[in-house]
Amino acid sequence: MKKSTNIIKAIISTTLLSLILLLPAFVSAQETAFSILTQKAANLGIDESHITRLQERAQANGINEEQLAEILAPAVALAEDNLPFDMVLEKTSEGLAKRVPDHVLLNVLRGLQEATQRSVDIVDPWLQAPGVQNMLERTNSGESAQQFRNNMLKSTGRALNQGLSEETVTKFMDELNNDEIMSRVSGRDIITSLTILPDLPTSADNPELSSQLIIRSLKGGFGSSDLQKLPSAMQMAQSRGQLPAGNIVNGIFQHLQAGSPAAEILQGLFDGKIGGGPPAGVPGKPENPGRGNNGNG
Amino acid sequence: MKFKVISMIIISSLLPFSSMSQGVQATLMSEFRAGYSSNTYLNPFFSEWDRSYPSGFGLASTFGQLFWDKDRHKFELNGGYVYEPFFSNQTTWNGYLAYARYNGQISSKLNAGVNIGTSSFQSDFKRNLHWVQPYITWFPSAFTSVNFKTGSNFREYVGFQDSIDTKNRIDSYALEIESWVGVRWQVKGGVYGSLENIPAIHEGISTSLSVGHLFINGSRITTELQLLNYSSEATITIDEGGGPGGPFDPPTQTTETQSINDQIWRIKLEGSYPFTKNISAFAAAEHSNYRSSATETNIGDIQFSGGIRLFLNPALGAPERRKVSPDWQRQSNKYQVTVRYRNNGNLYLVGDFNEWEKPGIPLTEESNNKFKAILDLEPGMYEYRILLISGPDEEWLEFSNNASTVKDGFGGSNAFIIVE
Repeated sequence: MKKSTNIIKAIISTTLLSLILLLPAFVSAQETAFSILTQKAANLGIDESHITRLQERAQANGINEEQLAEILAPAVALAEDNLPFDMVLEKTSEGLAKRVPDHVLLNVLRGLQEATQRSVDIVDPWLQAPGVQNMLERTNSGESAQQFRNNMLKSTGRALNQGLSEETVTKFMDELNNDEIMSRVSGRDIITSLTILPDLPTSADNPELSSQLIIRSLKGGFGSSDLQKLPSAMQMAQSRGQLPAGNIVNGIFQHLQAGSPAAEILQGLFDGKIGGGPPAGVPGKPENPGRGNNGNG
Repeated sequence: MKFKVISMIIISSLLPFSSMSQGVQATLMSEFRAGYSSNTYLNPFFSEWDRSYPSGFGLASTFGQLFWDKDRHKFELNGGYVYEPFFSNQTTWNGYLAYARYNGQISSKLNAGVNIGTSSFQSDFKRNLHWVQPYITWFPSAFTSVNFKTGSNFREYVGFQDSIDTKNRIDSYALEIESWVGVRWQVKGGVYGSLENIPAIHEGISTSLSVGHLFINGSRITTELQLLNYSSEATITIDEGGGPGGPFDPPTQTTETQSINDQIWRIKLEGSYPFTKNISAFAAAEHSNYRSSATETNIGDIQFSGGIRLFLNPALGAPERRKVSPDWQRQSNKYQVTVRYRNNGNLYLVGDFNEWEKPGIPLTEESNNKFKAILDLEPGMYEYRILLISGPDEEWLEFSNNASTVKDGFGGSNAFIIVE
């Protein structure tokens, strides 16, 4: 009995001693993985203080450094490819502020990284087109060419990340690049067009229709601020008019054809008056049932 | 008793939607009208045949609509009160009308739903109506809808011309087509009838056709033509008018049985003009001609009226659920954002412009629940949210429908601004 007690004591002592000896090595290994990544990030031009702030917020959210290293990896990978990484860092900050679960955050960030990498092959050739160059020279917004490229990559990457195909986005950008549009738009209008493309209610089922809507809206005089309101205005019109989105788009086409100003079209959408079908039910309208002996059919 | 049952059905059907309070929209509409009619059959909300006292009339009504929508499901609840005095004999026609409607989108071209309602009006007699009407709507093209509905009306008269109280049920159908020629011309047509007449539908079919033109300033002018046909066999005497339900129910003093073909032509012209988004004026004129094969008489009547309509869209929902709509204005090299919000607590801007660091950029209250902040922004696109901090509680405020928003990738949405 005494012998077995001694054996147990020996095992416990050995285990404890091993843990004490190995603990610094574990800690050191963790620090090393995170340290290597932050060092790499710093070398690639990612602001160290930004990383530090993210680290503090991650800790506050219960995310350890190993998980944080995984979360930061997509931004570092983009920086390695000399691609804009700030959108991924912003999305990281947003996810932490909103306390998004780390596995969800990681999936979103990896998706953004991959989409941004794919967007290079779409954006760079497009930027070289003479019509685009002329537009940038004409509008001269104070934004550098590099800034505009980065914003284009961000918007294109966002569109791809939300499920639009490369073919759809490429075709859309090719259609943007025609004289009628390029002679009247600015870089901001283009960025906005790409930004709203995946958010239009028609984009999931019929992205081609969404593309056509934006193209025609730009031709019809919509500016950036008008386009920004288009997704929510269409959703409102759908909701009020109880109509499929395709009806709404065709209603907008008709208004654009008739030369209606953007403000009027947007107001019509918000009021549920555009859509080509029955307008929203208003109480007391004569066609409502229950008013008498006829009309109840 | 029936009112209670129907009211309970409407209220209980609302309960599942109470959790969707974020999607609730409300509309209030009041109408004030004055006019003249030679037959109360042409009076709004009345529609009972009585030519005994041509009269000027007034009408004041208030209706409210609550509208919920979530995904492919829409639900609306309508209700209101009508007060309609007749100037010649000092009587009034007044009562309420309420109905609930559910609409589901089955596919991109097919909707289906149901309309359940009740109304009760009275003057020197009382008329109660209840109805249940399922419908299906097909959109064969972007500009055309075909609506088929069928259902039952339950009608009850109490104290009508000292006769015994009557109750009846009418099972009816309707096929309506609406098409838009461009976006300015609206054409609507309908065929209505009683299921009792099937298969001999020609014996009781009614038709209507209306053409409306919408002007660019929101004005509208509509003309509507209706032909109502009623065929029946009845024992009648030569007399004018009839019992409850219009001129089609024969008087009780009968001498012979014969086939009756009644027709009413109605033509109506109505125009409206919006002074503002909330106030519009309207005027309407209507002529009807009643012709009965039994009496071989033609009876012409007129109605004309005009007035104003007021619309309101009050904000709804618990204060903490209120949505915000940020307004951005450029001020030289800076951007000012203004948010209207009515509640306790502090508001902060959190977004790409401050690395989403909470609590964020404070929005300071300037006046009348108006909160402002001024930001110095470089060109680019910025996504953001507005955070409400009240004591230990934090809440991301939702944006109203007219805010510029994009999906945030996490299942929610952010507002955004693009700076050039």
